[in-house]
Amino acid sequence: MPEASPSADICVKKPPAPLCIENDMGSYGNPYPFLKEELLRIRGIRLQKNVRTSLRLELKDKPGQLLAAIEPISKSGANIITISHQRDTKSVNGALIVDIVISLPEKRLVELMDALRANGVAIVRIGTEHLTCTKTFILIGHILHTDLTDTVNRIDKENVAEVTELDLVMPGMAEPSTAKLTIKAMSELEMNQAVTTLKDIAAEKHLLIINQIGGGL
Amino acid sequence: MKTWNIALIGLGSVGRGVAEVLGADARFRIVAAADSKSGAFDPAGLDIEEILAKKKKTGRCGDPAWPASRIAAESEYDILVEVTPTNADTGEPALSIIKTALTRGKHVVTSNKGPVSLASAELLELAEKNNAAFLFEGTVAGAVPILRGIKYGLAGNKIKALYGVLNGTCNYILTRMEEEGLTYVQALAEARDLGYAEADPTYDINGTDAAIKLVILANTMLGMNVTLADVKRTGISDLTVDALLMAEETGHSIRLIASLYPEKNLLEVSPRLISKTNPLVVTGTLNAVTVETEYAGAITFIGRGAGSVETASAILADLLFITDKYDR
Repeated sequence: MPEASPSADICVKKPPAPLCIENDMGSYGNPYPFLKEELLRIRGIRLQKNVRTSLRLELKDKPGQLLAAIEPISKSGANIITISHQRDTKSVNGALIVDIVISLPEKRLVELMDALRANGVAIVRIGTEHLTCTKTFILIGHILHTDLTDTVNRIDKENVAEVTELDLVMPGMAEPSTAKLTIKAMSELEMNQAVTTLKDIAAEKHLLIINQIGGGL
Repeated sequence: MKTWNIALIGLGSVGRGVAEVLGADARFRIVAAADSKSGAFDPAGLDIEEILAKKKKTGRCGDPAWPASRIAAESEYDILVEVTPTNADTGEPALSIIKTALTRGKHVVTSNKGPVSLASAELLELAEKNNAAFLFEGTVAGAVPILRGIKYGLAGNKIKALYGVLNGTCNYILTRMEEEGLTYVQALAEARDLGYAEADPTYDINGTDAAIKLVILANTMLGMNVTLADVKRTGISDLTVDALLMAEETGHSIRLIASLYPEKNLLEVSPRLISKTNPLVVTGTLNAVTVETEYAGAITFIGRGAGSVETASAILADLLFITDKYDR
């Protein structure tokens, strides 16, 4: 089954055995107890936000099938951005293919998928391919302690730009951490806006930002 | 064949390189030399080895009554070669010495970034007024003929952007952090041990050195009018080994990149992520500059950006340019 969640792949890496950090959770404990909470906060905020998602649906070639696809989407409260349905494009098993781009809060996506399946509509692909512009940055500084949720939340712009990957390495509590951040955006224009936001945040939170050369500024 | 008389101001690493290169070239004769405390003059030609030996023994190359300023003002020579250390704030004492020589109608060749970054327009005007040449190929990227490459090689092309590695010390440190996983502090210590970093490496690692070179390129090659304060600078001292490892995971390196976009009036020196397949990702102390042009597309210059004989190579090229174009 395809990955249902278009949200960021946020992971935290720890370097191989830095200093032994003793805490009351024992040697296997998480030395950053608030990190998990931070990631849950980001996740919680994102679930409420509209996300633009593309769906490729396969319909049986018989009357009323397009309605079977549209009706659950309409009921879910999703905003339909585009529908592309060509009668002469058929899948190998003879089903009709419909490409739909919708916008709805991520947490309602799973319900919608269930409703579509219940109507006999097969979902063959789901994704956020509309975010075609990708840029990677490295940030150095006190990334977690300067409100990571706020950093990600300010870059995330409904349907136009979002943080799609965040790798964080924290060598020690007092030392600056390093993060690799990938932003995806709809086009160069939205990307430039996201980069400007990121630069503002970096200046405000005293983070060193390293951006790519060879592909815009 | 005419022999050109040279006054050599500065007997440090570059000055010794110039003496070595010119000593092997019958077209040139060093008739005057000065260090920071004294000077020597002989119209028949100086014995440079003897002068360097004296400097090593006594700390002075000649007579304290003949400092560099007096050599420049009173001794007879055709070309003044000025290779003293850079003073980024005032350009002195080199700036005054260069003005003295140009005012006398003497040609001047320098590798000193201070005077060129602070007063290139004034000095070039003074040279033109006195029918003298003022050349400074060695100030940017050492042995790499970037200035002449842009001015003559790419003549007629509009420069859309220019960016690259202009500081060998930082490039060495970043290369070592990337290849060996050294911390910034360890890599800097190694660079110092090998003589790639100064005792006080501040100007290199905070991006000032690269920024000064960017100012020289902007003002003398791209018709801009900027100062060091116009260059946004971020150094490499806060870089972590993790940052280089993360860059590597996506096929990138981190290099201190000086960049210049004339149309946006944008000058910046900062660590940047750059694809490992980009020709600018050079290792060790090398310099590399890409120039994006209107007709020629992108051209990349790569080579040794510092060093005694390497800088002397740029100075020799300037000298031969003068002997080719002028008959005195």
